Amino acid sequence: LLLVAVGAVTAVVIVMLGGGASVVRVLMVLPLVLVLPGYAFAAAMFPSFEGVRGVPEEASLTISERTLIVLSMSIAATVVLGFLINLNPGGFAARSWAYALSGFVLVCDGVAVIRRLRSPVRVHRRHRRYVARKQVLLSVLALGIVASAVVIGEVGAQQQPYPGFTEMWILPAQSTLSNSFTVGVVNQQASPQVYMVRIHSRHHMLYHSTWFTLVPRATWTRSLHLGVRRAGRAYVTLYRSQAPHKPYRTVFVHVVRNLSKTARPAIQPATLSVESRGANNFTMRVANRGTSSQTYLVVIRAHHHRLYHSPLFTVQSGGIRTFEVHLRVRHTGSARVRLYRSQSLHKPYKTVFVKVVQNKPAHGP
Amino acid sequence: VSDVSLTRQERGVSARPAPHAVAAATTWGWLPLLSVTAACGVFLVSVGDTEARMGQPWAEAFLWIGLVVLFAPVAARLMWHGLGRNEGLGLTLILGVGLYLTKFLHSPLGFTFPDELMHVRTAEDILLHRHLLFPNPLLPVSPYYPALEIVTTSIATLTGSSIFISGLIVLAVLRVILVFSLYGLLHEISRSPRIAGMGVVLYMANSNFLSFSSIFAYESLGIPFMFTVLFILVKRESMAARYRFSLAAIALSAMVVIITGHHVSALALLLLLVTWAAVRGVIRLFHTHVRGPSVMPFALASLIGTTAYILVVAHLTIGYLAPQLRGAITALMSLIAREQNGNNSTRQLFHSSGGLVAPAWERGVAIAAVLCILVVLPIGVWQVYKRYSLRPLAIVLGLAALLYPCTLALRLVGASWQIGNRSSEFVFLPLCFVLGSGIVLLWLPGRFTFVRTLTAMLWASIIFIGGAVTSGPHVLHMPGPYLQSADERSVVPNSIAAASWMRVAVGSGNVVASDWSNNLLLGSMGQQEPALTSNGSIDTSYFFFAATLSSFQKHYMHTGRIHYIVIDNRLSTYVPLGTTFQGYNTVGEKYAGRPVPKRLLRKFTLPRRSERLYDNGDLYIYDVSRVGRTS
Repeated sequence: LLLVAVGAVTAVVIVMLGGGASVVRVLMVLPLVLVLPGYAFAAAMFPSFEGVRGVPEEASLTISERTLIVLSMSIAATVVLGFLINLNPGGFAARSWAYALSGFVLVCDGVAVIRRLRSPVRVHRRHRRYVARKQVLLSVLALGIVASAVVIGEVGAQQQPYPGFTEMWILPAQSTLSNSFTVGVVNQQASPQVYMVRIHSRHHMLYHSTWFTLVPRATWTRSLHLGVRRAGRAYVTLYRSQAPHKPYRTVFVHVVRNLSKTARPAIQPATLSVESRGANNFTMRVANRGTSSQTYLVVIRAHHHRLYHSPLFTVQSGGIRTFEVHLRVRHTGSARVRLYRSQSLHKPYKTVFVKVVQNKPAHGP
Repeated sequence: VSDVSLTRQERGVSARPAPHAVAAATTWGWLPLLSVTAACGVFLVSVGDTEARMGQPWAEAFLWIGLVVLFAPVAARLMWHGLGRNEGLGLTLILGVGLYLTKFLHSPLGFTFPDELMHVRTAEDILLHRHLLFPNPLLPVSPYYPALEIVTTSIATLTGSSIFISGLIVLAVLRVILVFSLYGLLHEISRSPRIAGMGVVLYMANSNFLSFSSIFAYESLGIPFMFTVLFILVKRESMAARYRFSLAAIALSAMVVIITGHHVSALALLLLLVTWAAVRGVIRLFHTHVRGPSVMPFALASLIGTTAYILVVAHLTIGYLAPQLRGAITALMSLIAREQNGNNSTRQLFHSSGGLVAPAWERGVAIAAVLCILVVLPIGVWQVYKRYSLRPLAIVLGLAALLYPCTLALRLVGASWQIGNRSSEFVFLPLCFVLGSGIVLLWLPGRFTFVRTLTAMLWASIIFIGGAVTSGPHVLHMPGPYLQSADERSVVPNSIAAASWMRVAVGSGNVVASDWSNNLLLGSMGQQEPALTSNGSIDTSYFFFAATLSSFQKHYMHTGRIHYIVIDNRLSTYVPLGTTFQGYNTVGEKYAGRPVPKRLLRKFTLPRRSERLYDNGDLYIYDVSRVGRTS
């Protein structure tokens, strides 16, 4: 009974110290729910709970019966105390449970001590039963096999093959502005994936990201404010690098008009300006006004000849890329400067015309 | 209890006990060795589960071989001579725990069975709100019987562990309580370790024991405590008078757990106690020398407690149980009157609602198991009346065992097979005692021969395997790849991800409509409020099975406060194993056992105000809160 009281107090101290679930905490606190209340209650009910000298076996309680009473009465005490704790406005807090259970244990312990002191029946311990070494070894072997079975089962369940998937979602953002959304992508595949997000209404492209890589379990989120000239649906489409032209996931939301019909969209992802410095020398400037970095390509053509072809270059959000170009032209006339985005390299995004003069023989290599 | 006239031979010991028999009665005997064979059985089941997860078709063989390795040696030893009480109890405990591990290995990472998810919701609510009796949309009656959840959440709160870990610990303790109480009960009645051991082993052969009795649900608590109350009351008869008050206090405490823990267990206990008291009264009319403490006060306490709790606190119980019982009785009467129509028509045995047929060998074993029981049942009843005619509880159990054929009849009717299936946990209590008495007293009365023991072991093994194969559709016996509308086999990562996303992204408590499998996940892990007819919400099948969303259906959705609709695209590609959408709409019946057409699932894209907020390939989540507002 002293051990029961000490165990209850120790468990309360551990609960009060707090912290996360640990093996030590579980092992120390678990008896407070599943063993100690029942033991203390049974000890209070049976002052001679540990066995009575002179009482035949059949009229006494066996070990299994005592175990049954301890376990079942622990659960019963927890249930009854649970209903009482429910009446407390604080409800089922850890402190409430710890105080209630330990209080119950200590009260029953006290009653048991008093009843034992008054009991005419002497309590004695039963003879210890010795177990052969072979039996111990067999039991240990059985436990080892069961433990390995559990490990195999757990690992097998964790490694069960399921088809990977990618989550995409859109939610209204915490903003007073209309058409503010948060878009998220979560990679639940087994390997890193490269994605791209595009948002468009029926008539306009509203947003597009660059290609981005997500490792397994990683999340990509963007808060966006969409400028829309006509109310309707905005479709958010996710593309994968394995099939860049095939929509992989699609979600959609309703957007309201927040721009006049004649106004340009608030989001101008990119501008292209070309400044002539004479003698076919030009300064080209690509400004990224979008919310994320973009990859571009500039191509200049004149009279079916390609005069210039830039490599793919990336401009950060809000950044400007400037570069000088000197063109060698066979015919005087106009040249077409086109800006392409990596998302759709077959479709010009911006086009500017510039004057060029012949500075190369019309015929020849 | 001098009327119990078992000879020493009948108890399993020879007339003159040999020294080795005396030693066996006080030591662990074969227990350590058989614990190794039982562990090997569990190991085989684990290997089978792992292989089944990889989609290996032969993995099921490991399950059945593992179960036989687990069961048969223990059963054989319980029938053999020289069995001591400790050894018998230890063997039954090993078998009980082994079978509990078998269920654990089926889903070792979380609760996945439908009933488990329903009770997880109640436990989650208690942890979240720190109080009891919060409505549970998945199982409205569950919060009113929170005993299991109280114990589980107390462990979770105090130790900081999850509901899953806490629940596993509680279930393991309840399994120990079940084995100890049942063994003690049968031992107190029969005074024979062999009858008690065989009884417990045969109880484990009921069709629900392998999975349903081990799941995180209220009957897993109610039944062990029902056995505990019965055991304490029987034990009270043999204990000294000064202990009777203490035992009465223990019995009443356990009764409180049942009354607040499980409605059917409470009602079953009430019925048993009242019958026990009545039979005792009848016996005392003719045999005045029969003495012992009365059970009438406990029957009255059970009556008052159960009635008061149902009327004052758990008033939903009547509305929950009555329609099911009424439906079962009506269907059964129709069957008798050959008025078979509609859903009440005769159910085809071994056929799931999705049209799956159990393999031939499973059908054969299941039928053989029933025959094995029916052959020994009259012998057992006769033995019980012959040997225990002055023990009221034994007579009650003998009478109750005769209900077993009635539960078989319930399985023949579509509307009542569920009751017939679930009642096996209760019917097998008297049945296991009667069968155990029959086989031990008649077939193994002390003349121990290898052939007799082997025959009896085969008999018990057939009953056990027969019970296991009828525990559910054969594809659900083991874990494995995804199946549509297939209870635990439908709980897969992307469904869990959608439910978890809803909980985190849109918060809890939104009214959501979906198919049955996803409703369970959305209600438990997602903390949403699935619209189900069982919780008083609208019948969602009216718009799920509609070809298009007309203004009427949009308005219907709006009046049902449907905020989100979760569409599982696999409904259009997989054949469902069970119910897809809960409801009364008869249109859905034509899609039973075949995939739902894609157009029925895609129609939620069309309404102008519908928004698809989430897409993971298989599951779409639509916000339809603004659909139908102007209709």
